[in-house]
Amino acid sequence: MITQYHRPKSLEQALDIYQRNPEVVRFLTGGISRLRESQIPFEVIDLQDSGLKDIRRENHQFQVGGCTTLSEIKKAEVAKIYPDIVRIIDQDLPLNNQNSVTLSDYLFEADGRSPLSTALCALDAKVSLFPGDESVSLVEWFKNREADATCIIREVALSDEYVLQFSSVGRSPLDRPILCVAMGSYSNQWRIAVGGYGIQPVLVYQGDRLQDGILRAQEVCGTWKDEWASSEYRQAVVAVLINRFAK
Amino acid sequence: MKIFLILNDECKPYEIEAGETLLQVLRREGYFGAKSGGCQHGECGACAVLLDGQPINSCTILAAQADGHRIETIEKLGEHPDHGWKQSAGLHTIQDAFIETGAIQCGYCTPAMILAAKALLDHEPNPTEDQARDAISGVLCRCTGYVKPVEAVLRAAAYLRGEAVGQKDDAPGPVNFTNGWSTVGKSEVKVDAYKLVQGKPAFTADIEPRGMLHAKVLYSPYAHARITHIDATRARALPGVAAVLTWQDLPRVVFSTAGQSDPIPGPLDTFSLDHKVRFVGDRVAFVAAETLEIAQQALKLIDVEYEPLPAILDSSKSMLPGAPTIHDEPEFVNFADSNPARNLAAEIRIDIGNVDKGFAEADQIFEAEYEVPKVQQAHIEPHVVITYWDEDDRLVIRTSTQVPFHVRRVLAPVLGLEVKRIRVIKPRVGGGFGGKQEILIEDVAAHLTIATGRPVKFEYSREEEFTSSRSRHPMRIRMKTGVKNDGTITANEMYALSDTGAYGCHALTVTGNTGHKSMALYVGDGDYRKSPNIRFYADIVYTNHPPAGAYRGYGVPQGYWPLDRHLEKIANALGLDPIEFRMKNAIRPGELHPFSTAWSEGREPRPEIIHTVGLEECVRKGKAAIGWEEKINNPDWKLLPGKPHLRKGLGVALVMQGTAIPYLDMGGASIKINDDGSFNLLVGATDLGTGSDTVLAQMAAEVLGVPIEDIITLSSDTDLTPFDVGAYASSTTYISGAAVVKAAEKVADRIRERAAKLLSNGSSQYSRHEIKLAARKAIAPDGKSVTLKEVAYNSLHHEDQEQIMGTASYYSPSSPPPFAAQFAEVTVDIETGQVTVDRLVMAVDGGVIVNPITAAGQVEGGMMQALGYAVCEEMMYDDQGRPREKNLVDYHIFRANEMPQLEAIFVDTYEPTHPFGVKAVAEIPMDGAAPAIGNAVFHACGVNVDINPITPERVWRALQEIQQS
Repeated sequence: MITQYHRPKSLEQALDIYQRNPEVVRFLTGGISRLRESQIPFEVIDLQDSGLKDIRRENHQFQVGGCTTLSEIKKAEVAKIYPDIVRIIDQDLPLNNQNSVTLSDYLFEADGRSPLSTALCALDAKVSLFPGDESVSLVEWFKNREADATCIIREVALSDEYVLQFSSVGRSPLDRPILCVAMGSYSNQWRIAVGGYGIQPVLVYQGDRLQDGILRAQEVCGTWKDEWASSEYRQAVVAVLINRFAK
Repeated sequence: MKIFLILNDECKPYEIEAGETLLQVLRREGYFGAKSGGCQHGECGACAVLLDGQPINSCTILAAQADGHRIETIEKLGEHPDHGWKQSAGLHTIQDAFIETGAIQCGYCTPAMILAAKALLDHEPNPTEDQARDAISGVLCRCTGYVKPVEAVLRAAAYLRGEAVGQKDDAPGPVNFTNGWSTVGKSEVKVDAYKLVQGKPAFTADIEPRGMLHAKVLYSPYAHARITHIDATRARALPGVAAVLTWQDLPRVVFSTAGQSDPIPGPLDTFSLDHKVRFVGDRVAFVAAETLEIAQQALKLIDVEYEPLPAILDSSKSMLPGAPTIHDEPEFVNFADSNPARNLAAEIRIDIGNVDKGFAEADQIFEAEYEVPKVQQAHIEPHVVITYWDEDDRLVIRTSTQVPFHVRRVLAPVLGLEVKRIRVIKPRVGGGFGGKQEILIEDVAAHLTIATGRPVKFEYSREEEFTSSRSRHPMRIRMKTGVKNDGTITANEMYALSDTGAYGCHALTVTGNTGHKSMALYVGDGDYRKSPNIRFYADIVYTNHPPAGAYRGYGVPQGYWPLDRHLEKIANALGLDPIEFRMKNAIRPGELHPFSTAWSEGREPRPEIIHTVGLEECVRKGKAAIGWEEKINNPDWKLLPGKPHLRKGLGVALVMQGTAIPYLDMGGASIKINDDGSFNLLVGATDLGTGSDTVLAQMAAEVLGVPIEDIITLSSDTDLTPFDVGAYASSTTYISGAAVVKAAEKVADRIRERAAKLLSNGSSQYSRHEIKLAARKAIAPDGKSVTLKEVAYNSLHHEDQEQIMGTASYYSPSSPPPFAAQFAEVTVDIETGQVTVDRLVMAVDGGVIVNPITAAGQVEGGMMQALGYAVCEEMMYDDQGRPREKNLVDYHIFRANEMPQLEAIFVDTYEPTHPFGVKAVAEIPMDGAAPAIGNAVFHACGVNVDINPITPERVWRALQEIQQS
């Protein structure tokens, strides 16, 4: 139950409110789906006016504010550098949700079948949290995401120097994938992330030998058996998709 | 707290709770265009409004978040063009476009779609089709296939650009038989269109009585268990809880939830609450509380102890010796061959001709096994009901149902009330597709109203729709077909093992249709045509899965997947043209429906001749539309330049359905004239979005010589409208339509009689037989006329006063089958197995099409549901019987921006058993898409997938098998 609503004008104000009683305060960065999990009465701090909606490009980096909605990302410069992002977001969420779900919400709720999070892993995205100012790689953060359940993502940073390729397999063009692969390439370096299973996508390879990447992807997918697809299928098809990138 | 919303251009303060969603506040303030029940996490989009010009789902944000923002709801856009003395601004252009293109079916998602269109057109005056599709892609529609909503967006854009936009062309439809008719055969505007484009409070949940309680149900976590102890003391003590009911509180009345005529053609095996649970999601207890949140809290305070029992989660094990008995209750009432001791809900054994002799005469025999999945109707409006005692202490059940009269009859003994003490009101229904041919939740609210004396609302969540509703029966089917080398079918046999789940609702009749409607299409050729050899056996068994039930197509799609896939294999094995092979063996006009001599849903069978078969024309038109001749034997067409891993393929399936249940389905209609020469048409038929209110009004208008806007249609209310079995079995246009025509003819007769008197004078004497009704007039042969208004005034006020009215009912000895040819074009990725359906074309013989645009919408929407059945819809359970699908994300239904091209075509036939020559169109679109797509996959890459849906892995595995062999 929500007992009080706050809408601070800055992160500093938000922090003040938060620090008064952190036990009963939740941050709100878009939709309310993260709030539904709470069983005890709490206050919300809505960060819509707190300056987290910027998308900046400097020093070959995009800095995407955590309160940026997915539809704003589709319209931003980052989608011009990585045009596949538009299709990836369309596959991830319906349009109306893209208009309200922010990058922070999305990354907290993304699972292994989420195409955008798979792509961001391939692009070596880094996240910084609020409260706090530490920046960690998205891949690492996913592993400990639950520990930060009371936080929000202040910003996501990603390089503008990769070439992004993405491919997926699903039951229909916009169904959530049973297998997806994103590959970020830069100066003969490859970052391969695979999704379609489990609670988060997996960065399966980083290096300069694509064949090693394929083998590693197959090794990972060889353990991915669930009600949506067999490990045998995923193992075979992941190699197909990565080989297509190479071509 | 106080917030300010700039709501529809007016900045106003609103007092809200901090935790209220924007949707809750809007609906509380009377903005009902945002619908509230489609989902709980923003998957469906029916609650969409514009926030600062962008569509968002109002259930996913707090009202407080909207403080200071601009909100637009459908109520802003326009209003009915006629508001009496007050000048009306009329509808918005986009609303007009939605009406004109026939983009509205059930109308539940229509306000959201219109707002999404507005968001696009506000910044993009000249959108492409892709942009239109993207714009509405946040709103799920289960009715339309998105064809007409996309047309509507583009048409509205043209209007807004100031372009001259012509009259909307009728969808391709029959013209031969409708010459001389004024309204039947024309794409009239739907009679309910205006209220739906405005988002009026037309649906069940849009009206809430004062003092209303909210109901929730506690469900079983076990697939099979006995409740050894249940104690609701703690729940009852929770402040705000008005009642908690367990099995100990209710009379033990066995019934069936199937909404069918008496006697229910299936076992009686269900109680409102029982001391045994038979699937994960079965009912354990009911709660009514002041708020939904309190009701949910109370559920957690009900103490239940279960004794888990062995469960059956594989239908092939239901009848094995030693299998657990799912129905061991002594009250169980058998129907026909049901046998609870064997977990057998129904059994079918139909032998036509001499099947064994037919096999002996065959040159080759083909045998194979197939599977079809459990799938959900997924109507966007969930099951929802509100019950209350009226001022006469009669129980009113306001419910979103396809079968109001069956609800009343079936529930009376369950509630301990006589039929006359119950009134069922069916408001607008937001889609049903068979899911609401079930008396599924009405008893919950009714029991709680009886317990508390207060109004109670019960609305399923989307999760409950998946865990505790009904679905299409999954089946395992074995085919055996004997064929001569020239392609003559000598004998055809189907065995279906059908999983009815925990209860036997619709068990016999759905599975009966699986054979009845599919196997009847192919009778053989030559002498076999005169005496076909067909066998259809089925066992419909209980398992501990959620119950199956009625779903559009009603067993027939389950039959055509194995039958048509099987025929495709045979044609290929024999080197025959697949269409010629099918047509050689298909039933023809003047032949006996082979099953009509053998089976009639547990009743006495009566032979029936099929008068009209438009299949040949369906094939001809469908082939031309899809480009069959240019593609089917063209190896170059199958390849895509630069895409060596892709293959194109083309497939076809021929199908037939039924139109109503002969000698059983009955509809009634009542018509009366008003002072101004308009008419009230009261029908018990139930419009779920199908357009039946409109086509029934068209038939009445045609007979009475008035435009459709002079027919005021009310459907349906058990106190006010005549009996009708309800909306199922593709019966409404045919059965209820014939009743309307009969009632209208009675009224027309009285009008002619009085008009003849009014027109007669010394020199001119007329008999009523000479008077024609047209253009709101009664016209004598010499052209003299009186208006219907004059006739009405004369009869109501002036002379020999009478209320001109007519009541009639109709049931039919015939069930004339519609036919169709379904074509599919696909692209298969031969390395991943992914299938992309590029195009679906369906040519339908539905007799005379009363309203071509509405009918085309039915076909397009049906094809979309059938597409899901073919490639992505499937309900799966784990080894404890727990469902995989609980929302509209995992259970994926197609969105506007991923649809293949759809095309509906109608061919001309005139069914002589109906006054306007109609047959049905509503269900047949479900039947052929899956096998046509399966056949197209075979054409593309040479693999047979025998289990649908045709998932990437299934195709990939079939490809692997070919490579290995």
